[in-house]
Amino acid sequence: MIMAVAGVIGAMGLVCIISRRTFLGLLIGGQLLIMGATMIFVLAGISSGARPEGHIFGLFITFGGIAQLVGGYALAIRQFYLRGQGKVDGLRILKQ
Amino acid sequence: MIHWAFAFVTVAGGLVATFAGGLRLGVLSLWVAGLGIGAIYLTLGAELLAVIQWIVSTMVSISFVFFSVMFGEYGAGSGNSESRRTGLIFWASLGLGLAFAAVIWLGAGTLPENMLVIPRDGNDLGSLGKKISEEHFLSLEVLALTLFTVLVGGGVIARPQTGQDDVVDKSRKPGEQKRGRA
Repeated sequence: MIMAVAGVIGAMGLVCIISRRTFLGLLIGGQLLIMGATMIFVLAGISSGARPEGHIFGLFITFGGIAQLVGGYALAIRQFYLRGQGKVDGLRILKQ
Repeated sequence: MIHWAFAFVTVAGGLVATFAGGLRLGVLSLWVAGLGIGAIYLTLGAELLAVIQWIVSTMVSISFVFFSVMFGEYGAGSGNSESRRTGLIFWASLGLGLAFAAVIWLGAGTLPENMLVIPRDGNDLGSLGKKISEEHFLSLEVLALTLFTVLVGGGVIARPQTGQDDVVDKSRKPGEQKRGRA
């Protein structure tokens, strides 16, 4: 049953990614999604008897989320240099 | 039972982070959701993950506050008046603090004895480190390489280029002040 909580957290992250218009809001949604995914791995490891593997994969996903966040910050800074704002739609200018 | 209280806090934090109008409330709610997930890990016997989750959530929230202030988005978009917002934040933080203390007080008294003993093959740091170094060392190296690449790539993407001021000036409206660069 607690697995449903992890699913709800991940689903809210997905909704946040879709509905937010600013780049930082998008990154908040990504963090929620990664939290839910980490929790699912930990819970699946506990329920299947592979407890350390669940913990290790949760650890890897958490640090992978940090890497995603750093890349997102770099893109946000780049866009802010070019456009002076942090809207998601402004990312198209990075193609030029 | 205690993990359901933390699950409620986590889901509530996630809901507010998803649907909050302002970025400030969203960031604080993301922090609360991260703390709640760490607390759930603690009740499941995953102390290492709990501590890492708390540290990561706090650092991520601080960085979100820093970048949202830098981009001018911190506190924008909520639509409430300043005094009402300040009062709401005060009472909400007071309630959250009291609730946190009550949950800790209620939960600490009912912890079973076997939860206080370190399991042999679960959250034991020695067994986890041994497993990572013996069975998942390639994954660890890939993770380290990814973090290093992201660090270098982020620096490359975010660096100012020669002639970038011209691009910035073209995208600005007439009369808008030029932003200084440190």
